[in-house]
Amino acid sequence: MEILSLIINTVFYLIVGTLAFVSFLGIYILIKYGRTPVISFFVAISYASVFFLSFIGAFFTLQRLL
Amino acid sequence: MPHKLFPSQQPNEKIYLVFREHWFRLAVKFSVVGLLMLIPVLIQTFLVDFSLMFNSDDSKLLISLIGQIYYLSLFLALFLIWVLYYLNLGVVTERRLVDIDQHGLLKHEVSELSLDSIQDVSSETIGIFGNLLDYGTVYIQTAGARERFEFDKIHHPKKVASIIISLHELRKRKGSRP
Repeated sequence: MEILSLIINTVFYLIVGTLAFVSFLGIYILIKYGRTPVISFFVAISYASVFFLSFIGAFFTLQRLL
Repeated sequence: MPHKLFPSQQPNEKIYLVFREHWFRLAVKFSVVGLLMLIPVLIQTFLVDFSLMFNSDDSKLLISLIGQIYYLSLFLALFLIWVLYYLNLGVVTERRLVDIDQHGLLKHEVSELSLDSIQDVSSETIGIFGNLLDYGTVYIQTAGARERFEFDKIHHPKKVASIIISLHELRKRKGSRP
């Protein structure tokens, strides 16, 4: 059971970490190259908020599972 | 200080056109992701009821976790599709054409072409939707190192091509004046 929870934890953090890294890259290029700073900033903040909330939801599901 | 559309933009440079890929292309990409979002719902409704398949709470939680990660990935895909759409831009000014391309997340390319070096401009509309919604590609033949400059899948390609030709003619007349 210990090994199984370790595997699930590792897989979860690997996937979410990869998604977070790609999201960070996307936000970075949007803010760096975006032609209208207000739009870039607003979209980046909105996306980051939804991503963070979804991550928190998934994290709590994982905690209940283990 | 006004915000620059492209790095080498001069303060008094007049901008005639700014365009992106046609919205229909963006809508198609969004629809594909939308369909992918519907797949788990459709499977659950018509094929397999997950709650009947897995009786234990742990299995249900695991399915829920997989679903959350799946939707998180699709949401990221939507974001990236929009970012790439937003960052790919074409600009026509009184002096030059600028093609700003964002290839994936790691390659940003800004190509400029002086109106003086244009040799030929042509437009192309392909497909049912291209003809119905009037979007296509504008090709600009040049004498420079990059022989063909193109604005891909833009709205009103014929109009854009004619504006570029008019600006080129105008610039030639201005240049030939004593």
